[in-house]
Amino acid sequence: MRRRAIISLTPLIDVVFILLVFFMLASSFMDWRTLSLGVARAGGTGGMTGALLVELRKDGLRLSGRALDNAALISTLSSRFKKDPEQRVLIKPDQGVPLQDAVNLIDRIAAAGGRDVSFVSAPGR
Amino acid sequence: MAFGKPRRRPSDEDQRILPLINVVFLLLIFFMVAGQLSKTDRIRIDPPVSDSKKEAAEPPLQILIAPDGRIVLGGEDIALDALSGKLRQMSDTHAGTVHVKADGAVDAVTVIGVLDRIKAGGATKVNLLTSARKGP
Repeated sequence: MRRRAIISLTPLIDVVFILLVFFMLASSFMDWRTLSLGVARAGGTGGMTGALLVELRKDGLRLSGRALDNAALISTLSSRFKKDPEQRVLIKPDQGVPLQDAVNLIDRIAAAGGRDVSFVSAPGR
Repeated sequence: MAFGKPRRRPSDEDQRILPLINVVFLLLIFFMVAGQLSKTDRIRIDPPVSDSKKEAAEPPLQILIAPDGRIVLGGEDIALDALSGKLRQMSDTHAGTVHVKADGAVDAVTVIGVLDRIKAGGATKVNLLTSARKGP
């Protein structure tokens, strides 16, 4: 006959279950990423000259005051980036535009080859 | 078949639950190794998704922006106008790098306002925390 276990298994399982539940609830599997952001000040000094201004409005996009759609913006920007990879792009979101839309726009500009993307804040804010 | 047995010996019972314990142990080890224990934030934040490839390092200083626009620094609510002054005081802790964890639904203009104050507070590098896009 086999020797009986000194530690009974039932309490052990209890403890292991509790540990399991703790780790399941407490651990997070979030995959965090970062975006480096710069902020230029409208009307401020430096950094604004030669930059392309993309306005992100609730009703669409504007590049240097001209309304255009997503695909047109990306093709315009990528041709600019081919000429000058260091071309600076400023994004000016409108009041009421959620951050997710602005981040999507940054992603698309980065995918088109933009290396220097920053937000621009209105002077009065 | 074991049905006819009148009495089970304890070791028999133990044999029966051993596979269960094996599985539970494996799950336990998986969660301990794969998950990361992190301090939960005081407010619930659903970060924006991005294609960024840069992985987030442990931030020296983190500023949270709640969906309703509240700003939280070090577990306490802080007014937008008090932010840059507070950051200037804390310049030893953040050493120029600040992470911003904002909700994806928050107004982009609010975030820009906060970024602006952070820059004014002496931070040279401001990172926005996002979550990785799911799927291909």
